[in-house]
Amino acid sequence: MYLKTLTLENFRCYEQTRIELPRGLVVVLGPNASGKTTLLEAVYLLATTTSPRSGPARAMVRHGQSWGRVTGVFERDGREVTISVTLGDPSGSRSGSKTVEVDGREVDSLREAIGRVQASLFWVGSLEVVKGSPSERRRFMNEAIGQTSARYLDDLARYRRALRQRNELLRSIRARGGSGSILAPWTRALVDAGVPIIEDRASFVRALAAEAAPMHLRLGAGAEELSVQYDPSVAAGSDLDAEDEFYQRLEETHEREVERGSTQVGPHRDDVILTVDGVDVRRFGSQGQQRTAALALTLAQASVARVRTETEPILLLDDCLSELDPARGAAMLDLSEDREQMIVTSACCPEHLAERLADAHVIDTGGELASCRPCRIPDIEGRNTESHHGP
Amino acid sequence: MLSYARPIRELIEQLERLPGIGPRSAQRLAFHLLGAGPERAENLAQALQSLHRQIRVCEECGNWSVEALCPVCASDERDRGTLCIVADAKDLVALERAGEYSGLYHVLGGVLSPVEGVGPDELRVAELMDRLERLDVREVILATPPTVEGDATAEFLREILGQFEGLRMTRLALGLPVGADLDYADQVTVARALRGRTEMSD
Repeated sequence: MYLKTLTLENFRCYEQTRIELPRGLVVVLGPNASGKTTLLEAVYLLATTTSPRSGPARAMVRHGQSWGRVTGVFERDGREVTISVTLGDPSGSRSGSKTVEVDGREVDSLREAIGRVQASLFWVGSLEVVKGSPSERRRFMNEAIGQTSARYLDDLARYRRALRQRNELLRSIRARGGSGSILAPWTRALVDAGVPIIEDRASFVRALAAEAAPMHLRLGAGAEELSVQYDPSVAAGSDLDAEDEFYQRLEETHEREVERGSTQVGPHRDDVILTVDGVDVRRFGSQGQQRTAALALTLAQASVARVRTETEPILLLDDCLSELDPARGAAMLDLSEDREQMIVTSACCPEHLAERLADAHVIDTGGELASCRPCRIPDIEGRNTESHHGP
Repeated sequence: MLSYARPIRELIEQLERLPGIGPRSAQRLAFHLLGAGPERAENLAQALQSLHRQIRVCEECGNWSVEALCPVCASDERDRGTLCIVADAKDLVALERAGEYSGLYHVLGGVLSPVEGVGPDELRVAELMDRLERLDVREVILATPPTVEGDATAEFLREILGQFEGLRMTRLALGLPVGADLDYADQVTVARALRGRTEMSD
């Protein structure tokens, strides 16, 4: 799958822009704060209907405007599909709304839009997957598995609801006492939704690990080995399956869960262990090691999605050339040879890569997109965080 | 700013409290009633007044009823050996429309939801136990909705109804829409239909 044209209307710093893109390697060149990341954000928005940046949908609308829109024409297996996401309402009042259309027909949920277009994004926020809290790695798993399975998203929603209800009940048992019989149905709801989540995560991380290790070797200058391992709160043991194990662990931790008013074990406590040459890269990795690991995970996740959905995700890589040494930078650009489309941003045109970039399609946000006012989005080092985006 | 005359303002305020009605709709409805003349408004007022004066809860099943017993409970053509447990009276109506079921009902008046402060005491569970003691029920159909809360409610009932020996308990099946092809059903529906698959028999 690849993106043929991208149209931005009142989106962030863009007023009205239309960009044509070819297959293969696309390089977006421009100085910091010229709207490079915003282009990737727009593609990601079309693929997932959400922005990787946090904040309300209306923050994506160009300052002073009541609505904004991103439209992409994608080609997949020789067929065109047009997806548009409208933020706010061009005709009037609903300023906070978000409308997704596929081939001109409005779809009402992510469930319907899912799987039509896939994209994998590496940007400054991706670092959190490596160095952030366990919740960042759970979110990574949820988004990755959710991209290929609506059933997983349904289980996840049911799990969260069961957890919320169960925790509320635990707090009320703590305050007023009460028997276990009233807790049992919520325990069962939790386990029923939780077990398929555990199984899906285990199989996803297995597939991810198999792709991430060779990818990391390719990006790493030395022979550092990245190991990725699912670290479930509850897992199938040697003599119990995941369901029985889950029930048993809940029973074991019952006293503590009542005391604290929250369920102590389950997929909401999962993590992923990341080591480079045996060292926990989440806590002890250098900045460079963490970046390389995060990039390898993003690329590996794209490969997993490719296998599972038989669709080639579009790779969106934000500012990852500047820090890679010549060999790693070249290795990364070479990836585009067997990928359908890879969109890479860079604030500079590194000399050692000039030759490789000469063959690429270059989008210049400085010249060609002269209508763009400086956007002052946080750049990759997080130096410039002055923001002017909306209320 | 010029505001509406008090009676109009009061009507708008009342209408706004209804579910699904925002300030704009409330305003439109109020002016519609004003323009449609006194008779229309009187009729509506009368219907509203008689609603709570005439409707009460069926003493047996908890359905809305004009008499002490609702038409289902009063009928002598219903099978008194089966009891279908629903969350709300509107679920009862949906099941009745299907025309497939000929037993009795029991309306719980909601589903368990600790977050909203709904426990067994807030539902008509004691009444259910009482009815099962009195009546000669062979089968209970748990027809709470297929949500997390509905499932937990069914699970809770399954547990406490275990004390009635020989009582058959079934759960309303969920799955594929009738007449639709498998490949048109969404992933979640297909997955849940698979999980809840049933044995084929002669």
